[in-house]
Amino acid sequence: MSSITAVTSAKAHGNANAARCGHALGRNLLIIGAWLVFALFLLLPLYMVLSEALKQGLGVFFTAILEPDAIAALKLTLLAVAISVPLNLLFGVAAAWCVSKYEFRGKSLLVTLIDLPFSVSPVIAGLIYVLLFGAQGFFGEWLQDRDIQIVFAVPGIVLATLFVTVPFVARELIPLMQEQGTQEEEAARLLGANGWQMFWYVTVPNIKWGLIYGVVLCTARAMGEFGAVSVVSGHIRGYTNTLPLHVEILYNEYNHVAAFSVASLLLALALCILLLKQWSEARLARLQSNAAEE
Amino acid sequence: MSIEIRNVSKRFGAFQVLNDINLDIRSGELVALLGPSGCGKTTLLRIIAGLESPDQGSIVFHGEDVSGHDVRDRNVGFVFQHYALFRHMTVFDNVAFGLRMKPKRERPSETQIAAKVHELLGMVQLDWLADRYPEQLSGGQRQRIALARALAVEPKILLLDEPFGALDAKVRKELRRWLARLHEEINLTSVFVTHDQEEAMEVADRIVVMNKGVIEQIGHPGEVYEQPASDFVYHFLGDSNRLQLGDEGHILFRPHEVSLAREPLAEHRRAEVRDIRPLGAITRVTLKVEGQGELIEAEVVKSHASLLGLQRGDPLYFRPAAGSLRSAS
Repeated sequence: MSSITAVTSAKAHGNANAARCGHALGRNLLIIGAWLVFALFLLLPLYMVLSEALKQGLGVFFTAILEPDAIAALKLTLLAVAISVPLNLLFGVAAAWCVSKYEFRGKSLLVTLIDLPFSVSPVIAGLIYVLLFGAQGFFGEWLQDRDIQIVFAVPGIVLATLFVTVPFVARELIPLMQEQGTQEEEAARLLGANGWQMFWYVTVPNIKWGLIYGVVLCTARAMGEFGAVSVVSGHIRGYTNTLPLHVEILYNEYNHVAAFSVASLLLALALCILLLKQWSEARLARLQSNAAEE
Repeated sequence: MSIEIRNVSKRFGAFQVLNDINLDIRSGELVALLGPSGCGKTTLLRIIAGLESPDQGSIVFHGEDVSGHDVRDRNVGFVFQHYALFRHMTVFDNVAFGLRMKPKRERPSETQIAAKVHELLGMVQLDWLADRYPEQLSGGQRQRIALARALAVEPKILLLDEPFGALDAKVRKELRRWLARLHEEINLTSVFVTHDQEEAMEVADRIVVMNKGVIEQIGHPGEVYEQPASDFVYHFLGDSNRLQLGDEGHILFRPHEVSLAREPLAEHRRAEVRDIRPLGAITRVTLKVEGQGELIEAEVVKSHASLLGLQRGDPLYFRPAAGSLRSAS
């Protein structure tokens, strides 16, 4: 009896092996294809950017990125990131808390609206701000009377960046917090924790990796945003130019080496962010698989 | 500490979860809230804890109305069905949490906290797990840690929401006996919610049977079983048979309250054997009676004379035991 089973199972095993061989061919083709696409559309452009930037040597490269306008653009980009990311962090946590811990009317509408910046073209987002705060805009006169400049100035750039990055943190946290539910928070309250202690010692550690992931994505987008910022910026060199806008201006002036040099600066920032993302993503995946096992 | 529940009502949207509940729980008692799912028992427990607020009525602890008190000021221990352990903290930190959250002037030193935590972990016999994380523990271990965590702040009242509901049968049995002993030792007022009548019968001093947001009966385990106040209580506290009596209605009796014979006897009804199930000390026989679709279940000791050589399809004569009858319309 047992020998029969052994034979049948060996046969089944052989069949499975054959099937796996058939699959293996297709699998290898797919993997090679994926690497080819990756090389052609991602690595090659990356290489092109760097080789263009360094075509005339390191000296020219450093002159281009250390030039005052480029430094100003870098500073403005970092400023926009420094303001919009913390604000979005606050908003994201608050919105995710609302959606996952409370029941209220219009909840699904709120969740849909959070996604609005994803579905609206960034150019339109920029135009909205021009229409609202521009000289001929809705608040234009009121702002002019008080000598406040929003459009074609730094506040406009920060606002536009804020708008396009709103969904990142909230989107990341909502499913995570919904899955975790409210019981741990209730347990903390029952054990005497006040609202702040509950949030800091129970909620934050539970959502930490999702939070970091959201912030990383948000930072990447805030640095790279072109469309919305372009509309409200006015392209004043050394004043309202962010890095992506500066790259475009240099490129349009046929100053290719400088354009690619500044572009590679932006690229270096993006790669740092990517590494951060990879790291937080791995932690998040581990956390979720643990939760799923329960 | 005694608990008084006065005229408590609660509604979620259009659904009346609790309807004018009144209940007195004496100091040191272990009370079970028993009922089917959706009967409002968990909501009542959460209202006692302060996790939900009632639409009407009040909660009184030891003569003091605590209805307006926040959860954290009520000083109740609460154990959740799914444990709700803090997943990112070790077992030690979970148990220490309540002590560490105390305001600075009441907070014990870390040395005192460590001593207290190890004492509690010793009490639940899991001291060796102090450095583990919740995800590394079995269900039964998690529930004991949850209990130790709840007891760390020395509550006067312990509330347990289906504490053994997520555990397998054997662990459940062990844990509930252990809980009953623990309750004796540390002299708390405890209320636990369950839908399992056996669990309520085995652990509780008194059982509160609930259905559709009202209390059907309050009594000692023997009382609710022997003298059920309603058909609902009778059905809920054990298996029951319904035997049709022509046009005069029907009677209810429990499977073990029956006399069986192989030969026709006075007052015995004839039935056909449909199934025979040996269940250890007792054997369950399923009977088909002429004139009713509902089958009758009879349980007798396995050595009962009528079972000898009994086969499916054989005739068998039965009579509900005289004292057990419960007529209903």
